[in-house]
Amino acid sequence: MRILVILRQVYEQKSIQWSYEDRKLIYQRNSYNKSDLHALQWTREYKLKADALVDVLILKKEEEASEENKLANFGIQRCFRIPSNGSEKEDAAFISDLLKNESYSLILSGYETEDEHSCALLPLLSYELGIGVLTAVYQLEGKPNGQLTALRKEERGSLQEFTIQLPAAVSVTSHISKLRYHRGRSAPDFTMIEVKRQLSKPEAVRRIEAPEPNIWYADTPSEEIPQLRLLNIMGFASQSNNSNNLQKQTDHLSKAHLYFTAERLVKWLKE
Amino acid sequence: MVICYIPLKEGLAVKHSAHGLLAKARKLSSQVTALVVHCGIQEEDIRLDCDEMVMIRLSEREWPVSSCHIQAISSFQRELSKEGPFLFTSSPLTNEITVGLAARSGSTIINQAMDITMDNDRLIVKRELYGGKACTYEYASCSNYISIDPAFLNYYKTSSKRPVSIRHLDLNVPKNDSIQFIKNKQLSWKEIGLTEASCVIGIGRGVYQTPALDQIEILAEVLNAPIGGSKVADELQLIPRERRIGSSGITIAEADIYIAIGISGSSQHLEGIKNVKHVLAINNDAAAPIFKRCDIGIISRYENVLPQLIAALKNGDGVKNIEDIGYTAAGV
Repeated sequence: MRILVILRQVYEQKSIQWSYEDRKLIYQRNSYNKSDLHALQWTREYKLKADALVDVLILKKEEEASEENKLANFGIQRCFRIPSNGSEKEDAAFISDLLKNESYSLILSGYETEDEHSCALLPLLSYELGIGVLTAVYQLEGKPNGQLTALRKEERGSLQEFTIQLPAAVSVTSHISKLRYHRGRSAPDFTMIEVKRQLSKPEAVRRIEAPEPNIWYADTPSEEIPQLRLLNIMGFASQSNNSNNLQKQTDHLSKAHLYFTAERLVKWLKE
Repeated sequence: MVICYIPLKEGLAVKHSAHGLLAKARKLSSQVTALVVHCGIQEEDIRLDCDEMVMIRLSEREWPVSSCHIQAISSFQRELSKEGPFLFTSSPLTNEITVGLAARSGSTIINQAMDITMDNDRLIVKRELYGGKACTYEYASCSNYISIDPAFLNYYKTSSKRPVSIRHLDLNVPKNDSIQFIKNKQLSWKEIGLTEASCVIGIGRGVYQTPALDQIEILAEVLNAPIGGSKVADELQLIPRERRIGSSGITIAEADIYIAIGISGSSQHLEGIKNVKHVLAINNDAAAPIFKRCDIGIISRYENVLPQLIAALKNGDGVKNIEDIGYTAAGV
């Protein structure tokens, strides 16, 4: 099986800060998108169980320094390095052109980027290439017949199971594998291919600002006592909760109380 | 006109975020169409504040597959005379759908928006960057596909009695062999993480060296609730380190129910459950601070309570008239 892993260079979420004085982002530090690295780690573990050739495609912002040493020991064959202007649409179109003469069975990537929270690259690429796509995969396993079984978390505590007929594009969450950090800076053990690309200015018109919460204007509570008005704003409406003034605790363990507790638990679970 | 794709739970029930989405759409336009792509929901079970509702039925095996949604929505779009923004709530499935629709029509997509406002004929979409460390404002045209993060949608309860015209569209969606849905799988209480479970059980010093620990596991199984605990429970090796709840451990922000067994409720522990909706406390110490935080408290040894509570939950005794029973009726 031939696997392509797409790694996106991002600004690390932990380090970055908004400077209110200069009105711009500061402490920008480059790193690989974490969920993309989880995808690469998965391929390394998959290679131990089955035959696979792994190539990596790095989408890097033009001015950024390269960190290819980090990718040593992953068993990568070739590494394509492509400059990106941040437009997922243009990136997908360019990568699909690049992959026209290649035949990858599986294209892997992380679900979302940690800087821009964008998650459209892989689906866009799959539609360009005309292959199936499944995003936010939680667990991925190979089957002997060449198919893959994937679990995806759509609801809280519930998983959906899919079979994937290859070729396909799959984006994964960080649950897919546990990152193993390779100590020591060994030299890259793969062939590096620099791909030239003429970058255009991104289409989207946008401005970056300080973090601002969404403000909701709710109705003013009508209670006379200020304390009750405050409780209402906090979500403890006195009018709707008819059992508010009743005792909540009991030291007498009756059957009725237990039934009541069980009934409340079931009701809360249904909410 | 604004079209809202109504988020459903497993294709069978409307999610709460649908009402928030429609309220957001109502601020953008007076004409709101709700698109319900389902796999067996009854129209009388849906109460939405919209002008028109279009229902498209897929089979249970087609519903979780995005390509089926894309074909269904595309066929609906062909009937539309006017273009307008298409609003979704963010999820992995809707992410695939929005990208697929945008790729077909050549429109642009904006995912995981916080808010949308109208400025003349353009939309201004607010998004979070770097996990909330900055915000971005993007201009979008009215033919865009925009998905809104459900965390930023207010939970409205619809009280609208607006007449809604309902249309059903029958479609034959061609089979997609590439991605096939097999089944839904529920995570067991042992697999599910504390941060994603809807019900969590917490244990503390009160259960140390007691003979009925297996009862807690049975309750966990009945409620499908993972077991965590206080700092003391971790130190007494009742729970692993990663299951410690509180300021020195994890915060269970998403749980709806927390059952505290033998936990006194220190301020550090209460910090870890500050966002939990409902708390049930079982402790034999009436002065324990957890009783100030709980919705229901039982002052008793947990060994006496749990077998009876488990039996009541399993048999469903007293759970039949859920809406009618109140505190007074229960004799509390």
